[in-house]
Amino acid sequence: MKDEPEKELIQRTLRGEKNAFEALVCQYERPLMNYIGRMVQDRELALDFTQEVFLRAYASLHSFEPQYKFSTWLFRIASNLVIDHWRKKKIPALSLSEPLEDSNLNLDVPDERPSPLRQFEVAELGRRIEKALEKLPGALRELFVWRHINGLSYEEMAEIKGLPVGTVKNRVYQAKEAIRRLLEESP
Amino acid sequence: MNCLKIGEIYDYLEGNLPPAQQAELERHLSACPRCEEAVVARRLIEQAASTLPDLELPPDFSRRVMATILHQEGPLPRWFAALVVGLSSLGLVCFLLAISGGGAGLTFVSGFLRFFLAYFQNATVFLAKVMILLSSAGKTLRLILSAMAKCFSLLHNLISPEVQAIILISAVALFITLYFGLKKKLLSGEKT
Repeated sequence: MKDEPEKELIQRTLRGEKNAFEALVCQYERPLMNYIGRMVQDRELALDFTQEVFLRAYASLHSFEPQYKFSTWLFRIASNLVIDHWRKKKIPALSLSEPLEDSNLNLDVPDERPSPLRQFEVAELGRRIEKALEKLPGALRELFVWRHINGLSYEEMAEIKGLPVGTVKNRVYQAKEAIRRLLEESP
Repeated sequence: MNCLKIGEIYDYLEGNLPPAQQAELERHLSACPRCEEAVVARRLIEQAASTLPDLELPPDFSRRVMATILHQEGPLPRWFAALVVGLSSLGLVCFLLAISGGGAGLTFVSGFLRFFLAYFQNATVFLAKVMILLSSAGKTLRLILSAMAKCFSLLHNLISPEVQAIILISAVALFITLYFGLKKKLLSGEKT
């Protein structure tokens, strides 16, 4: 069942075979947890949200349009859940379609000073990136996680967010720059 | 070549540049320590970010999800259970009447059953027709709404917000004019 194409698994789930949906859960539980966990910064809440994504997906599987990728559909459900959570908690979430006001996030020429990041090992830098992610505005954090941790393409991210690929790419670069600045400001 | 912009650095690191531009950029990097430093710093972050560990999940997570799904679905819908209980009680009453009433009881029960079956048959045919009608109406409405949503989304991407506002205001103005125009026409028709 592990190598079975996901479209076949979806069809079997729609025919009432529950173990086919369990195979989809096994396939996507880790990517979703990696994304949601870093968005809500709370392990228990992330587990609840990851489960909720699968419950919502199961309940509305009949409305899934097979011309889209199942993974992007799941991430869209997850993203809406996270945004609703931020809204309820009144956590400000930057809109990706609005221009950024923070001049530190522009994409002009690089700084002249040498980067202090060379002194860190990759593992240490990884730990610092996790810390820096917590300080990043939600919308930029989402794109950074999708790109670097979930390995989504710009086209997939654009499909999830319903934005042009160019806009998404620009925002991903701004997210990377914001992370770099945060890392260099607190070495 | 001028010093690199940030976007060019990321395009280079992600291998998004055409080969000619990639080669030109590499030539510049070998001659410009500042840009070389900028590329190295960003490459380090990209490497470290791509090796971040997975967040832990309980080993039985997928089973828990499936158990919740099964629990939410429940054993049987309530209306179905009520229907089964009602029909069973009716069957039992008929059976008892037939036994206790002898010949007269049997005639009464068979008459009642004939009436009940005819009623049930008519109701089923009527319900089936209503369901078919509702289903086709739903499908048509869904098609129209999805086409409208696609059109709006296309327009939203193509047309700037200012033009969208102008179109919206014009549509509202046109609607109001048509509404009051028609109303006036109808009222004047009634008077004459």
